[in-house]
Parts: sequence; C-alpha cells; structure tokens
Amino acid sequence: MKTNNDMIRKIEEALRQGHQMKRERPVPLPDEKWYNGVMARVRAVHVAKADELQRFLWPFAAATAACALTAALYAVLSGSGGGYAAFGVFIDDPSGISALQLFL
Amino acid sequence: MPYTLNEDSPDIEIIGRVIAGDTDEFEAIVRKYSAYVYKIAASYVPQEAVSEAAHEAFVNAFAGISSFNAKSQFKYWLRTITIRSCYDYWRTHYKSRELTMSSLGEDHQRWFQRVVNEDAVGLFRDSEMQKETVEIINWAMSELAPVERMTVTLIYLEGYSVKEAAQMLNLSMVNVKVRAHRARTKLRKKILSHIDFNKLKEGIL
Repeated sequence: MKTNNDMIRKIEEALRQGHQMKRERPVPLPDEKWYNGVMARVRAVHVAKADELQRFLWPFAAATAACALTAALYAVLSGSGGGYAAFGVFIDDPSGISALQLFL
Repeated sequence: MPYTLNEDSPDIEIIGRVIAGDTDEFEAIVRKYSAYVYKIAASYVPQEAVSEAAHEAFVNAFAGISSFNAKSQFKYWLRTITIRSCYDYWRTHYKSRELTMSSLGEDHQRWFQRVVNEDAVGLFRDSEMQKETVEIINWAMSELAPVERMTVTLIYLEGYSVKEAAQMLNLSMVNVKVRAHRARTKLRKKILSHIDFNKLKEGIL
C-alpha cells in the first residue's frame, strides 16, 4: 500500500532525475557576437576600474601637494638658517641649505 | 581579425598577464571555459537566459580575478562565480518573472500518475515525459524566492553538500539548511495541493 509520503518521495526522485536529464541536454554554444560582447564589457570594466583608482588616488595626491607647498612656504618665510620643513617634519639645518633649494 | 591568443597556456599564466593589465588575454579564458560555463548556467536559469548568465559570469570573473587564489583550481573558482551570477539573475528577475502555469494541465496530472505507478527506469526516454518534467520543475519552483530556488537546486537536484552550497552562495551553513528545508516544504505543499492522491493511488486520473 503506497502512502502519500511514498508517492511524494517518488515524485521528488523523478524531478531530480528530470533535472539531471535537463543537464545532459546539449547546450547551444556561444557565437562570435557573444564573445565580442563579453570582451567589450570586460574592457569597459577595466577602464572603469582604472578611473576608480584615479578617483581614489586623487585626494592623496592633492593632500601631498598641499603639504609640500605649505612646507616650502614655511621654509621660505622662516629663512634659510632657521631649518627646513618637509611634509610637516621640521629638522634642524646646520648646513644652512634652504628648504626652498631642497624643493627646487 | 582571427582569434590568435593561445588557449593552451596554463590558466595561471594567462591570469597573471590579465592581472598585470593585459585585458585582451582574458579572451583566452572566455574561449576555453565558455562551454563549461554555459553548461553550468543551463542547470540554474531558463534556456533563454543561459547566454546572459554566462556573459555576466565572465564579466564578474574578470572584475574579481585578483581575488583568485592560485592554490585552487581556476575551473572551480569559475563555477562558484557562475552559480553566483545565476543567483543574481533570479534576484533581478524574481519580481518580473512570468509564472509559467498557475495550475497543471491533464498531461501533467498524467505525468504524476506515471511517476507514481511506473518504474522510473526508462521513464525519461519518452520525450513527452522529458518536456513535461521540465515544465513541472519550472511550475514547482516558480514561487520560490531566489535563495530558496538556488538552495533547492544545489542541494536536492544537483547533490551538493550544505557546506558546498553555503560556500557557493556566500551564506552560512545554518542559513542554507534553513532555506533549503523551508523551500522543500513549500515545494511539497505546492505539489500536494495540486494532486488528488486518492485518485492517483487508484490510477483513475
């Protein structure tokens, strides 16, 4: 005597076999148009990644330039004998080389 | 211009060149694995969506290629990317999906009768049975949420372990177990609500 559970198990097994059979069916292969489409997208992703990197680096580059400019300005205003500054680090300058010379 | 890249180079060499910035080298990967990716995608998305899912899989593989671990096989890494792309397909198309059938026709009712009463061996050699099986799978799955559909397909239909399914879908094992169980219960309920088991037992459908 078949119970409902027996029957549902048979149905599930049949669906599993059906799925396996679906997998074995031949799948149409891509054509040249498809390959070209994929590679066009890949190149676009590559360009977008490079742009993103540039956007990410831009604030760092700007901050570095601003820091260098401030340091140079400070060195010029404080005079050649007073020391020089680079990126916010102040070092005594016994040799008397001006910071401006260093930057130039 | 004819395609000239060397598809026979070991994957790891090609991947190294792609990571170094030679984007065109990726075409060798696409050509080498397109049939493999198509075949995987065909198990998870409708026939008409296979090329779209495979396309996305390769674009996603390229976008994440720097995360590929050279110690593992590229083929298996690509399989995971493809399965995740199929999952994305269902997430995108879930709300706009077309319901294949609201109820089953007489042919499908007869399918259940044959499955229950006949020996399963050789049942699927019948092309009508094959067609109806695919329709019934689509019908049964049509109301499942994308994650439920993927867990049921991976675990019950494809035979992957919970651990493998969790890794492929980027979910915890507990989450996968719960989703798979819930989905299986939903499927059983759906099938039970459309079948008259008493008639099925008596073979009078």
